[in-house]
Amino acid sequence: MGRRSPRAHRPSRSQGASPARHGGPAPAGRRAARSDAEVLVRIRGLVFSRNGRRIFDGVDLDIRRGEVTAIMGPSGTGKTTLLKLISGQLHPDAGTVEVDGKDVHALSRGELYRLRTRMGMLFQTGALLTDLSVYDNVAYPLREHTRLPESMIRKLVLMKLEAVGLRGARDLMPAELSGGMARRVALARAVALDPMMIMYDEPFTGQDPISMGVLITLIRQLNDASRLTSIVVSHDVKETASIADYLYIIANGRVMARGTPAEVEAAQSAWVDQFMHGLPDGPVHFHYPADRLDRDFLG
Amino acid sequence: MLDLLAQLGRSGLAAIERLGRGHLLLLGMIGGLPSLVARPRLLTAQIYNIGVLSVLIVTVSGLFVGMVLGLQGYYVLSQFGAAESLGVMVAASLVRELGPVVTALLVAGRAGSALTAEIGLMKATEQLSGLEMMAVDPVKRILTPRFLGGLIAMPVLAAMFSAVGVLGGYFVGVGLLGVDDGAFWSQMQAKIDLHEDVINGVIKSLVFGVVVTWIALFQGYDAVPTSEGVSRATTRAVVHSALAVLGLDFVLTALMFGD
Repeated sequence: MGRRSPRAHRPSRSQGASPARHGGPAPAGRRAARSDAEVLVRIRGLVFSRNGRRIFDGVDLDIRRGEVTAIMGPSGTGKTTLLKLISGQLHPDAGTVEVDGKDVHALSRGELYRLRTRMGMLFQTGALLTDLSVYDNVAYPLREHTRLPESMIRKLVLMKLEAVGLRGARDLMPAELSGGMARRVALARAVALDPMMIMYDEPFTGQDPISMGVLITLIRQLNDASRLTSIVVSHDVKETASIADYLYIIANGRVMARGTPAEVEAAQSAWVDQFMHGLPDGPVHFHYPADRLDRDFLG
Repeated sequence: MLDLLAQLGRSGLAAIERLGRGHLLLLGMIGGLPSLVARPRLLTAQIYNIGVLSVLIVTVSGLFVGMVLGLQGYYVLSQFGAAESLGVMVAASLVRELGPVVTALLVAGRAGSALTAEIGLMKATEQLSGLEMMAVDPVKRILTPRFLGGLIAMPVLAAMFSAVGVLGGYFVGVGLLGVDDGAFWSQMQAKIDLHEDVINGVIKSLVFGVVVTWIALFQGYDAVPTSEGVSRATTRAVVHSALAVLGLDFVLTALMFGD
């Protein structure tokens, strides 16, 4: 693994990415025509409710090919739900989600499964199969979807494990791995079929600084070396912003801010400022709505 | 009053919806059976987990049940001077009723609860979602082998239960209480009918195998993905399986043996 900072791996074209290039409901005047080929995931008018609560209320969002796009927002705003909608695990109440030009929710089961062989997802827990070794976990998608001989599968698995620095851990069982190692194995498994995109669900949660640094570097390196498109869902502002080419901040069912990390950082919004700098009070109040203090204590 | 009615309506709709999901899962598992031809090791692993690992509890239970049948049967039959018919009574009770029913209850408690907990935990730890995202159908790869494994294991375990039970009845009746050895076996051989008793018992076991594994797998698959949700699902799996087995036993007995 290289020792350069994640920033050093950024493609130069992303340094000057402007919000207009990402389309969607960008501010009027900044919306520009662009080639459809640039956008891998296009979300329009997404509406989704669960248990009577509206999670998304007309969200428009574009994920550009070859970039690391971060979806950030407070806990419970539906970031993971958004990934499940993109991957077709959930169905929206209204709106469309297109991946590589295909409306995910209009596909048959077979077509959806074919599309998923080109999408990888890193779950928050790793989601490794606990009865299989590290080696067999990484080999699993190869054995399921290819007819490669076992000798070739072995080489591919070792290559993927080497890429995440865990070739030596191939005989371990998932229960013997630390949280960070489990996510790296899951990452090796997610890229086993050389997908076009990877979705990361809260990859940094609960990681020690070393594991976090490793994951940050891996996400950026894999994205650039394998020409992937990455969607990182997280509420770890600093870490996510350090590797993202473009940020979306979602809350209250809509996109609150969008742009490059520098643009979002400079946004003139009290809410975005509170979120980006982790301020305890602001538009999002410290206190949960309650009756008046004097009434509660004296009455 | 209206709230109560609305609550009742909601519960009824939820139950029907759940029943529908359960049947869709059953159809999915039946539809996935042909895929096991290419992966026989998935099936053998589950026959081992559900069947082989249940052999001890099933045979030990069968032995004790057979011994109790020997004791109780001797007590009743000897009052009518028919103690030599003990072999028939023990064998008929075991093959027709106790073998399939008690085995199904034991499998529901040992293997069914384990299946529910396993599938529920796989759901809670996102392993099933992970498979979905790898474009692998978890119903085909994970649930169907367990379903067929349970279906195959149940009649074999019931046969073992009945066989060991007959031996238990023999030890007590012939060994301890002095029933004639030849009468015990010859009357059993003469009166136990292959179709009427044995085949019907096997049919019962197969039905119980379907029901117990189906309920266990559905409860796990449909569990709320939290520790409390998995715990509740496991309890529900055992309770529902036991009630379904006992209820179906009555229906099957009426159909098979009722005139």
